[in-house]
Amino acid sequence: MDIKIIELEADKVRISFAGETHTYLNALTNQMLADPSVDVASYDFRYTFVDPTLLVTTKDGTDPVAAIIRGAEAIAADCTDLLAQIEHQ
Amino acid sequence: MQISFSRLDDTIARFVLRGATPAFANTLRRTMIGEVPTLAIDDVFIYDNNSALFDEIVAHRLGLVPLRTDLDEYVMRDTCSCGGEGCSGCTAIYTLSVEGPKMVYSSDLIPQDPQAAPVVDNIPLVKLEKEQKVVLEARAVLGKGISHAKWQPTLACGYKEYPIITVDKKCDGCAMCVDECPRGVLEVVKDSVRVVEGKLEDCSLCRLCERICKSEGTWDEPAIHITQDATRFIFVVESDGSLSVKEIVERALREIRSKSESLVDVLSDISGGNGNDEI
Repeated sequence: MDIKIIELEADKVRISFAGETHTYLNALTNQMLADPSVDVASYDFRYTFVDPTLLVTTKDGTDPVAAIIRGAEAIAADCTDLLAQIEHQ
Repeated sequence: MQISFSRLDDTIARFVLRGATPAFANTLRRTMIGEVPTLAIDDVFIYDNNSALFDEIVAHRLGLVPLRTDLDEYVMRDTCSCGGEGCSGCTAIYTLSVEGPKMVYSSDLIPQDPQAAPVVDNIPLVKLEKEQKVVLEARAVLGKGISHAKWQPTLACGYKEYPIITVDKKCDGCAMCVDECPRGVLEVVKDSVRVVEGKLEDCSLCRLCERICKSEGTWDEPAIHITQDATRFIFVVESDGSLSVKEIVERALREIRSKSESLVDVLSDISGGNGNDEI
């Protein structure tokens, strides 16, 4: 995945995702918001045809990059689980 | 998260996704439509065309013909070892040479690789009169629906939230909701309305039953209530025949997983190194 970190602080990260759309980022932000240590997880397209920017802020000193990793890992685990179920049907 | 299929043919599947969020269900739907690759004709070399249709219209029609796709045989052109020049690993070649009077169908496209033939034979392309002819060579490549609709492997692909129908004790079994329901989901048994066995998933959530109950009954609130379970989704996925539906669902899930794993890899590198580095 082609990403670019625009801003990184102890409790805040802003990342640009090249070529990504609502398709993946909506699921990712939704998954991250289920994490109680995540304060804000949102993305926006500044203009229609530009790359989206993901903004994550955290509470209690949690590393925002680690929060994104946890969210992405949870989505990957769900997909693996569903693929295994389809295999057995 | 659980997935259970109630129907799984080559071209249509119906399944229920349980324990999911609306965001994940929508991601799966969008990925199936726009990010599962399939073959479609992208380059057309026209040697002769004196039919009533311009070259561009013929080329556009050829692009929309669904082609059988073996994703283990072909790779995307930009990742092919040929460097994008076009080879048997990334390009399927077709020839068309017909002379009128005749209606030209998709079956007249002669594929070099029989495994990549058009899905159906009777798609009309152009009608030729006497002494008109079309001679061309077409090249199909893998692509994704996000670039152009001709690369979408799905026809109808959508979901609805699982319906929940509850009937209050005050229901007098007047059966007006039964007559109103366009899907035949309800029935009257012993002066009360209930859902016909096995028909709950057919409910389209139109709420016509609620409306008729409220307007015709003697109460302010209807005796029947339609709500939705936001963690269960009924999916219907139709394939255009280029890929089997099972493969479409599996490929979509693999695509979402590979994006997640790729993001984890990149971010793990950053957390291990200097976080301010640009990637």
